[in-house]
Parts: sequence; structure tokens; C-alpha cells
Amino acid sequence: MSPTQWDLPVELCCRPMAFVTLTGLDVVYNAVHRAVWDAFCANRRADRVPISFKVLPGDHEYPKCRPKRTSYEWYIPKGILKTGWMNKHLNLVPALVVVFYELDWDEPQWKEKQSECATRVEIVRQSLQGRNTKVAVVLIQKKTPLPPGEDVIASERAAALCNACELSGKSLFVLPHTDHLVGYIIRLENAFYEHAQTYYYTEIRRVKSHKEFLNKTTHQLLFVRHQFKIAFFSELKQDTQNALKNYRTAYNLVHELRAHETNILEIKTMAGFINYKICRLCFQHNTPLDAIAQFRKHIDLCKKKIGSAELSFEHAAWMSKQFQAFGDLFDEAIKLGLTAIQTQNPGFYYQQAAYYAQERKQLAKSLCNHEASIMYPNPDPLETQTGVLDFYGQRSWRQGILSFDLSDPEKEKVGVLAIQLKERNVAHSEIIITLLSNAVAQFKKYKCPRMKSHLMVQMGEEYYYAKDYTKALKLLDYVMCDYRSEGWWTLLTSILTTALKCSYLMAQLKDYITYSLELLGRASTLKDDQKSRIEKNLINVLMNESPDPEPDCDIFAVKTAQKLWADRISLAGSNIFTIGVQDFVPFVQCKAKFHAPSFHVDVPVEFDIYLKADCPHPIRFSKLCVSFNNQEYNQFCVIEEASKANEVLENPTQGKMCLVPGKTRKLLFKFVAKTEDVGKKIEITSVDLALGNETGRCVVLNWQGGGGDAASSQEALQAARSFKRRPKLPDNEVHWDSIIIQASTMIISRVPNISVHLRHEPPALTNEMYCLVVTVQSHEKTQIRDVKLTAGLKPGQDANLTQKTHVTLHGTELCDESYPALLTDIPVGDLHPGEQLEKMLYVRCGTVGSRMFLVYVSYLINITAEEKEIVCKCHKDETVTIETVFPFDVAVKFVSTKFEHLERVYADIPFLLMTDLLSASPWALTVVSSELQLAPSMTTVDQLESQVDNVVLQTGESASECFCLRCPSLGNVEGGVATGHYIISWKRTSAMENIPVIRTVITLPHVIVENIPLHVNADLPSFGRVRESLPVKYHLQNKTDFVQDVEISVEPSDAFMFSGLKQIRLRILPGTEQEMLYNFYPLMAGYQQLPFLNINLLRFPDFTNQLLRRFIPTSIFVKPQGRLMDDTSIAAA
Amino acid sequence: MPLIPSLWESKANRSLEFSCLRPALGAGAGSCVTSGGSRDAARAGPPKLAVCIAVIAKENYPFYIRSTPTENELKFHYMVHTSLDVVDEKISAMAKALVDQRELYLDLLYPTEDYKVYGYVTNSKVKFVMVVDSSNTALRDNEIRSMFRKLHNSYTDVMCNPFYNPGDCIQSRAFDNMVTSMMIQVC
Repeated sequence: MSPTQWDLPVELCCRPMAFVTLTGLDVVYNAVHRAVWDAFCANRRADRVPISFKVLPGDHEYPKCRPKRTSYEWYIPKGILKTGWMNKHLNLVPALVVVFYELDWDEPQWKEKQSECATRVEIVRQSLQGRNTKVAVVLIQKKTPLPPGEDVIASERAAALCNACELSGKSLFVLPHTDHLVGYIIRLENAFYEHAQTYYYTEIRRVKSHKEFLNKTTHQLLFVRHQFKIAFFSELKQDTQNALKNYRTAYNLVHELRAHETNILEIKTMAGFINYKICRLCFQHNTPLDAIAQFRKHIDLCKKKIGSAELSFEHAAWMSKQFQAFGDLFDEAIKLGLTAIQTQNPGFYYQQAAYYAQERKQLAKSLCNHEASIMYPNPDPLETQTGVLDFYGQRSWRQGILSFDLSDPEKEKVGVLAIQLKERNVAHSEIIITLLSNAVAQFKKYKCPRMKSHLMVQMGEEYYYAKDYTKALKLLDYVMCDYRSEGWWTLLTSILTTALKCSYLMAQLKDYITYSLELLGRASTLKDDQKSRIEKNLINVLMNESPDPEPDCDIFAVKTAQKLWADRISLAGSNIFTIGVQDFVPFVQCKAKFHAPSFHVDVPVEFDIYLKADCPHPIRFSKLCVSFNNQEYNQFCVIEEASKANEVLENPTQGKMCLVPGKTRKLLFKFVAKTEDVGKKIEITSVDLALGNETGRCVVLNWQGGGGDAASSQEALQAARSFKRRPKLPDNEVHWDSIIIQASTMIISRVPNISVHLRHEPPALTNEMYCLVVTVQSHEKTQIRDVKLTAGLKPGQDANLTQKTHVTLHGTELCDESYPALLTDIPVGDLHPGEQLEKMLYVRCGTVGSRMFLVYVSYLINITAEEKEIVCKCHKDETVTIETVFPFDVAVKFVSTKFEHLERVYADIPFLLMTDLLSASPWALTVVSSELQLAPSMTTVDQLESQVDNVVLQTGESASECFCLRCPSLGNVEGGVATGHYIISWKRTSAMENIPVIRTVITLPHVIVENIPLHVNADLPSFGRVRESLPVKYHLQNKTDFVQDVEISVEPSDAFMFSGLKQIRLRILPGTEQEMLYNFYPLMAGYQQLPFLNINLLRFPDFTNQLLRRFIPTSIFVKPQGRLMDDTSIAAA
Repeated sequence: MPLIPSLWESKANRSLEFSCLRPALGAGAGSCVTSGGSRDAARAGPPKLAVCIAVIAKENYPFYIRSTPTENELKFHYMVHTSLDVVDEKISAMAKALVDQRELYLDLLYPTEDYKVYGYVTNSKVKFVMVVDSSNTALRDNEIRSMFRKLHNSYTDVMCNPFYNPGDCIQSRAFDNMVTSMMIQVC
């Protein structure tokens, strides 16, 4: 038996195609024949008819046809299907034999050639005796034929040739050897195909005709056989629908056969074949569900047909093959465009095939465990005379025997033994692994990651059984993390156990240690006794000894492993293994926790390392070191416990580094941070815990960051969610879950022990040199050095403020734009304990609004921390918000000489400018002086002297000044005429002498100047007295360049008598002045209306009395007559 | 003799009714009463046909997993674990559906040669997986559904227990009994 006994035969799996043989072609020496043959076999794409061609010599012997049976009465079939039958019809018995012959119609020696051709046909016919195979003749001609009917000779000779060869006209073809060879060939093969179909049709009819002779009792096998043949011929005929129908019938017939232990294999084999055909055709017809249903039915029917118990592995092998074959068919259909889904894909079939292969292995293991002394029987009962079986699925030692009784039990026994011994040599694992890897490939495609992992585990385990430990470990290691990350600890433990065995058997130190660590850990579901065993082994390994073998390992493999381990011991080399724990769950847990999120530089940084072991026995570690991002600290955080290798398990409760299972161990570390690290983060980058020592073997467990392994994040989450009350523990113990990893801390500067005070008088006044007094007092115990002051506008505010704020230390001079907004690092020397210093700071704010000012004092101090002298830089800052306000408001107005408000001034006519300074400052202001700077267009009437020198203004008080000005005529100026500037020099009353005076410049408003034609002013005393003459002189000035006619009249008044011109008309020359003199005589005392002067300009009708009244007084105060004077006057009277 | 079955029957009916009413009572009901109720229901409950019952957390780690002790426990662990592939796929397909149209029962996840694996997912993405023997052909979809519903109710009771810490493995006698009632009994 070949190892591929269970493989389906090739002839079953191929697509049956009509078989046509070509004779008379010399493809080796004749180029034309070669070209013809090439045209037949090259480029056989799907669009060409399905024919398989074969070139054979003309005298080829075809398989002999058995003589026709006239009666089936005495015929007893010996099996269902002969092993050679399918091959015979695919490759040996043609549907059509084509005779190629070179013959042109105008051949001169026609007669001879014709008879030679006839002879050739005859020879072919001879060898096909009894078969229905068709014969055809193809004449290879050099000349292109004429259209049919035109060549008289041709049709004559063709008829003659047909006659000579006993062919019908349909079987004679002409192949002109011209340019269009391929076209001719395709036409030829289409004709051949028709002939072949006819042949297979007759074959089907022939097989069907046998049916009537059969009876159900003795010819059951023939029913199946015939049905199968009909279906197979239908397939050859490319009638797949009928083929499928007939195969289905055949399938049902197979299961109707009486099954017995002796023929069950034959039945199953045939059922498998037919099932394969059905499924294949269903997929071909694009009805995959039918295929699946058929396959399910097939499996359900055959699952229980195990047959001989001694050979039950054969059943498993057969089942496995069924699934595999179906998986292959399914996969092939997918490649041709079928879509599979997650829950229905070829992977499941490969997986099931693998399971049956595993079962086969198991069964073989239990059934084929013969002792080595049992020899393979001789002669070999599995040998047959021909080397092959006559019928599919029969036993070689009783071929063709249909009896259900075993005629020769001894022979049977030997046969079974031979099969069993053969089975022992089968590489089961290889088969299983191949199937599993097929399945893995499928599940990968159909989004089944977990199924994939599971199959990979099985592959790994199978490699383990096959003793390929390297591959096993590779696969197991690959999938471990999937189970770990999803928290399936039972499965992980199982995988780890196998992995540990592999690493033991290969004496892979590092892997062995890693898996041991995890199997001892909390993720492992092993029992304590197992854990103890593993722990003991681990300790042995660390003491440079060999571990005990893992249980259930192959004895021979263990022997090899023990040798390997012994070699490892003698082998010097790297015995330190660093194992990163972040990817698995080791038996020691570690958490690092800084005591605070930040430490001042002058106090030692403290943190705890918590360790907890989950292994069953106490364990002693040799070294613990902590690494930081600043490696200089690493040296301070090492604990090393010198112990001899054999002490790992002794004195368990003593020593810092000995962990008692389940108890949390806290290790305190302390170090002084470097002053350079102020403001930086100190981070624990890793924690290394060493087990064992350098003399033996040493394992360094490496935690990244502040501890934590593959499972701890989930645990931390769970612990955070938990509201379980934890039992009270003794003071020095903590609950593991309650420890939260804190792997980094900030180093911050030392707390300053100085006081910084600011003294000032807010608000600041615009542009003033605002004084800020900074007082620094040291409260330190020792002298502080290098005290520096940084003061000014706090950075980060509006950029415009920086432009408009200036800071200086010197208040005696006004600062300008060049001064900075922030003075940095002003050295102020050293300070003794308790000493105090004061610094004045002047700020000039150019705009109003609030500003934040910063005063920052830094200094150095020597400190002793943990017996170490360090220089600390301390600093303290103060910020203050200062509002800046205007010191005063200045109001300016223009009035006439009569103090009447003026909208505009009149050219050349004096007017008054009044300024009003209202203090807005909460502090008293001293107006040092004021100054009026006139624009060139303005002239003053009298001296411009300041009237407010050294005036002190309290809040809300105001200081006013009045200046008499005149504006010469300038013509019409758009927007008015500039008046000039008003400059106020001032300071705070409280400010010191040396503080400069601030000059505030106020731009005076522009004024509109208007020309008037006539100006009238009056000269009159400031008061009158009853019955005393009051002389009044009016001056009329002509302001124009024209001679003016002026009408003047005086309206009478009850209060006055007067003398002078009552009504007059006069002319005033340009630029000249006319005086009018009146003598008023008051009659009544009090504030009296003067007789009104009406002036009428004939040229300027707009010039009204209204305007006039602005210039001349309209009333006067008249005092009553004095009493003394009265007496004298009476007397005089 | 006929008296006894009828009595048994009436009791069974009553308890079934009770268990049907259960969801209406809401999750807030006291755990003592409800666990008693479900135990009562279990006695009369559905055919005992599961060979493995598992409760899987949202994060896909097992809360609870129990299989018939006669068989290889590991096999069922793997089976449940691999079935999560299909569950994940079904859930992601379901996420597109509207919330109130969501069906908790996930139907047959996948059949193997010997077993059928069924799934059920709660709104909080806790999954129930049940493995039944393929040979059990008398099995109806409705029965599986009602088994899952009972399991869900019992699970809700566990969650309502103030002493239960969400995320921990389920260690509840009531739940255990419920599961036992659904498992194939080993004689």
C-alpha cells in the first residue's frame, strides 16, 4: 500500500474530457505534422472544445474488448468498480481515432495512395475490434481547396476514397496546409467533438441496455457500477446535468448495498468517490449549498460505518480525507469566484480533517503498538500480482471474494497486522500539521483570529508530539500573547505548560525560565503542587543544576534533554538573562511609588518599591536596582544582598530581599536630587530584580517604568472599580491592590524663607515716576548670597503695555522710551539672617489702565541635606496690579471779553481763553507752573504769566487761568486756527524734592475765526450814579476795505436822559474809526439798561444789532445818590 | 398515582409564569427573592441539553465558564473562545442596526461536527455562549432562546447583588444552580 492510499485517484479528480487519438502523424521528423499537432495541443483555452488528444502510431493496440455477455444469469460481479476503468476511458479507449494521410486531389498516383489509406484505416479498425470507437480520415493537402462543387475531380475522388475506406462522407476531412492552419484545426476539432459525443452517447445507451438483465439479489454491485459508468460517460460527453443526476442515483445505490465488515471499505471508498463527483459538479453548477448539503449527508451516513475495530484508524483516515477533499473543492470554487463567509468556509473542513487525522493518530497509537519483535509478515499479504488492486476499496488478500464469512481467518490476521505495521510508519503529525496550516490560512482570510490562534496552538502541540520543539515553541510563543491579552488564563496555562516542556526538552534556558516565571505567577491556573515543582526546578536551574524533567514527556526525548542540560552546565558563557516582564505575567509583581508628586530640592526624594511574590514558596532575590531618566541617581537605588547560591530558599523570613508569598514587601529608597534637576521630572525608567547570582545563573526581571506587567492594568482597573472593604492589616503592611504606581516626580526649588514687601501709593498717575519700594527681609538661618531682584512689568501681558511702561531705579531723572519695561537680575548683594534691604523702583506708565508688576527675588543658600552640602537657589516673587489714571482733567473754553461763550472768534477782536484744571488724583498735586505756548497765528493782548504757580490741588479741586488773546484776520481757514499748547508742570505734593517735575502738554482746541465789517466798542465807567453825568464814548471801526455808510440811532430809555446825537448817518473810511460821544444821565438806581445803540450798515444787511450787543455793554449798575452829597446838593439847590 | 404528575405540572406552570414575569419586575428587585424564583423555574425548566455554558465579559475575558465534567474542559474553553470571532462579527454587523431593533439572541454561531455553539449578547456587551450536543436534534430555537433569557435574568440578579464587584468572576450559588439546571446531567 502506498502512503497515499487515501488520496483520491487522479482520474477521479480530473475533469473528464473526450478522448481522441490521432494517428499517421510523424511529429518527430515531419515539420508539417509537427505544426498540425502543435495547433491541436497549444493554447487549449476554455473556448476550445474539451478534448484530450493523443498521438499514437497507426498500428497501436487498443485495449481489447471483452466478448459481449449475452446473459448475466450466471455472472457474479467481484467488486463495484475496477481500478483501471476510469483511466481506460480517459486515456486508453478513444472515442474517435483520426487517421491523418497526406493526399492531394490531383495526386498522380491516386490509386495506390487511395488503397494505402484504406489499408491504414483497416489496421485501425482491426485494433478497435468490438468497440464503438469512430474512425475518421483527415487528408493533409498542400493545395488550397476550391469551393465545394467546383472541383469535380475532388468530389469524385472523395466519394471513391470514402468507399474504399468504408467511411461515411462525414468522417472524411481535408486539412489544407496553408496559412490558416489554426482556423482549420478548430473546425476539425469541433467535428471531432461531435463524433466523440455520439460515441459516448452510444456507450451510455449500451450500459443502460445491460440493466434489464440484472436482478436485485446477485447484481447489486452492478447497479452501482453501471450507474457510475453512465454518469462518467455523461461527464465525458460534457452533459454535467445528467452526470450529476446519475451520480446521485449511484450514491443512493451505494448505500443500499449490504454492508459488512468485509466490504465496508469498498462501499465507503465508492461512496467517497461518488460524493466527490457530486460535490464537484454542484460547485461547478454554482450551487454550493447543494454541495454542502450533499457532503453533510455523506458524512452523516458514513460517520458510523467504522468497519473493523482493529483497523478503525482507516476509517479516521478516510474521514479526514473526505473533509480535506471537500475543503479543496470548496477552496477551488472560491478561487473561481465563489464567495465564502466567516461561518462557512473551507477552513472548517480542513479543521475537521485535521481532527480526524488526530483521531487516526490516536487510534493508530493504541492499535499499532506492537512489540518490536513482531516482524512484518512474509510473504507480504498486501502485495498483489499486478501491484494494484482489481477493484477499488478491496483487501489485497481476498480480492473478488464477496462472501461475508472469512474463509481464511489466519490470512485475515496477517493482513490486518500488515496494515497496522504499515500504519505505524505513517507520519501522522505531518499530515495533521499540513491540514491545520491549511485551515489557519483559511481562517485568517475569513476574520477568525481566535480560531486561527486555536489552530496554531494545535499545530504547536502537534509539532511537540512530532518532536520538532523549535517549531512548536515558535508557534506557541506567537499565540500566547493573544490569550494573555484577552485574559483566558486556563488556556494560557495549558499553552505555557506545553511550551515549558518544549523548552525543557531543548534545554533552552531563557525560554525555560520565562515560562517557569509565568507558570508560577498569578495568571497560571496550575495547582500548588505543580507550582512547587516548577519553582524547585527554577531554583535548580538558577543554581546551575539540571531541572527535573517535565511530566508526560517522551522518555527518549528526556534522555536527550538531560544530556543537553548537563552540557549547559559545563558550558561557560553568558549566564545572565534579562527578561522584560511587560509582555507576560511573572510570579513577582512590582510597583514603584514616589511618596509625593513633587519634592523640594533640599529634601531627599523618597520612594517605595513594593514587591509581591505569587509563587508557593518564599524566594530570595539577590539584587534590586532602579533606573532613572537621570542615570546619576541609579547608584543610590540599589539593594544587593550577598548570599550564596544555595541560600535562595533558606532563612526564608530573614533579609530584605526575601519575599514571602502573598505578602507585600516594601523597600524604601532615598536620594538627594541634583540642583540641576530643579524644574525637571525624575522618572523611574525601569526596575530590575535579580534572582540567583553571577556564580550560578542569574535572571534579571526588568519592569519598564514603575512596574506592571501584561495583566496589571486590567487588575488596577478592577481594583479601582471595586468597593470591597479590605480587611485591616497590621500597620506596616499594605494591600497590594491599593498601591497605585507613581513612577515620576517633579523636583521643585526650595521654599524661600524671605519676605518681600511692596510699598507704594496707588494709583499711578500718567507719566509720573511712580515709586515702588521693595523691601526684602531674610528669615534664613544662614547668610544668603547673590540676592538678585527682577522687577517690572510682568511678561505675558498686552504687548502695547511693554512700549508704554518703563522702569528705572533712578527716580531723579525722567525716563524715556529707551528704558526697559522689566529690569532683570539687579544684584543687591548678600543678606545676613534677619537683615532687610530696601530698593526703590520707579515706574513710568504712559497710558492709563491696569498693569501687573512682578517683583522676583532670587538668592543662593548653602543647605545640608542628608549630610550633603548643596547650594540651593531659592526665589520668591510678588505680583501687584497697579492702576494708572490721569492726574487731572483740563477744560479749555473761549469767551468774549464779556465772558460770554464764543462759538467762534472775530478777527482782530480780543477774546479770552480760559483753562480749567480739575484734579482727578486721589493724592494732592502741586502745579509747579503752567505755560501757554501760543501758535504763531495768535497774539496776546497782555502778558502771558502763569496764574497758578505752586498751587496745591486736593482731589476734586480745580485751578483756572484766563488769557486775553487776539487773532489777526487770516481769511477763511478750514477747520479753524490752531491756538497753541498749554503746558502744565506738576508733581505729587508728597513727592520728594529730587523727583523731577512732570510736564504735561495739552494741545488747545482750534478756533474758527470770522471777520466782521464793523467793530464797536464802548468806553464807559464801571458804574454810574443817579443824577450824575455818565460820559460814554462809542468807537466805531471800519474793518473793511470799503467806505461804509452807517445809520446810528439811540433808543430812549426810562432810566436815562442823555445828550448827544440821537440819530445820525455817517460815513467811515476804510480802516478808520469814528467816535461817538454821549452823556448819559441816570435817573434810577440799580442795574439799568443803557439806551440801546442801533447801528445799521447799508452794505451789510446781515450785520445785526444782535451781533453788536456782543461787543458793547447793554446795561450798567447805577448807584444811588450819596447821603452827604445829598445834603450838599440840597443845600446847593 | 396520576395525582403526582398533575401536581408537579401545576407547580411547573406556575413557576414558568413566574419566570416569564421576571423581566417585568425590573433589575432592581431584591436578589434573594429573584434567585429563589429562578431556582424554582430551573426545576421545571427547559430540557437539559447544554454541555458548556459561558459568560464572557465585554473585554472578552471569561466571567464564568462551566462544562460537563466528563469531557475535556480545555476543549470547551477553546470552543467558547473561538466562537467569539463570530460573536464579534455579529455584534459589529448589529451595531449598524437601530438600538431598539437589536436582537440579543445571536442564533447559531457555528456548528462543529459534534457540537452546536449558540450566542447571546446583552446590551452591555456581555456575551453568553452555550454549547449543545449536535446529536440533540430535538432541540428547538425557542428553547435555546428561553434558556438564554433565563441565563440573562440570573446574570442580572448576580449584577444586582451589592456584594458583587462588577468585572469579577461570577461566584454565585444561585447562578451556579441555574447553570446546572441547563446542563446535561451526568449520572
